[in-house]
Amino acid sequence: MIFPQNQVLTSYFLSAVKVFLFILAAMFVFLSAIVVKQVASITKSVSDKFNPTLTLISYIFLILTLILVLTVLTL
Amino acid sequence: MNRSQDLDAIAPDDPIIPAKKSAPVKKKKPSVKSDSPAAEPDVYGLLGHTQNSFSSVLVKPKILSFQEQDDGEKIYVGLRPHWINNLSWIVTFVFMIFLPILFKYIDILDIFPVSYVNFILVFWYLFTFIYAFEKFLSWYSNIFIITDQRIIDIDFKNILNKHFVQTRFAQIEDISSSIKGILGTFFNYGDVIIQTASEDNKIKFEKIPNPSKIIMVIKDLQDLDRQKRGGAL
Repeated sequence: MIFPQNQVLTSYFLSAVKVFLFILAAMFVFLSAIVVKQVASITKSVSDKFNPTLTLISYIFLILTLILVLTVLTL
Repeated sequence: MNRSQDLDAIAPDDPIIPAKKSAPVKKKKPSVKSDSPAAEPDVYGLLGHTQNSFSSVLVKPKILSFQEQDDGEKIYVGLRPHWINNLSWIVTFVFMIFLPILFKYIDILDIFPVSYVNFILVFWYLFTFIYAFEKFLSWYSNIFIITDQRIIDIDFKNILNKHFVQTRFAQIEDISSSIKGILGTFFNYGDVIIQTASEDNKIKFEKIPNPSKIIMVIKDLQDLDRQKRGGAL
């Protein structure tokens, strides 16, 4: 319990934390999308053996961050 | 006999010394093979063979090509900054991995419910891995290419900005190199600066391994290009 004397204050605090984490997770999705874009740009510009692997990793990150956003909603 | 008039004649008092057999002069092998009029430079001899695809020096890479490549344009060398430059972000990455363990000892996260703590941990590790991936991409995508026609610098700065600079061998005016610092001296990496006659008058290969050998490769290819253009004229 964060504020043992006050249940309402604890609830407000946790709600504020939840909103903060949601915004952070949303920003994180944006960051992952940028990484996906960067990898796409690199693979388009320079062809390499590892390009499919890099693309796969970037998409895995994007999916994980989307799951993260959904997880905030269940908190 | 007047010796000054006939220098080829041997005077009776002149000792006859047999001419010294001159040792056969070994011709220094040029780095450019001379079996054909436009021979290829021996880049394997200068730089060795590429060990793996993540190497900083890719010699005649078969797995590498770029968007702006012309038909029939051959890539001789692909260069990335020396791998030791990745050390700073790798250390940060390892520190970030172990940071939550530190928080456990401080009990800073104990005020939150368990579900929140788990979420924060997942978030933190995902952020850590994206940070490492982004740093790796910055190194991996910062590539310098030397082809049989030109020198190219492709760089992805600040995640989304693509930076592409190229110069033809004929436009090169001057090449210089610099090795700086303890790590640079120890691991033999540095910058190669190519002054050109173009508007973007400088191409800088930053922190690449063996700068002096790279200059030799560029000079060999410059000679080859000059030969080709001389033949074409």
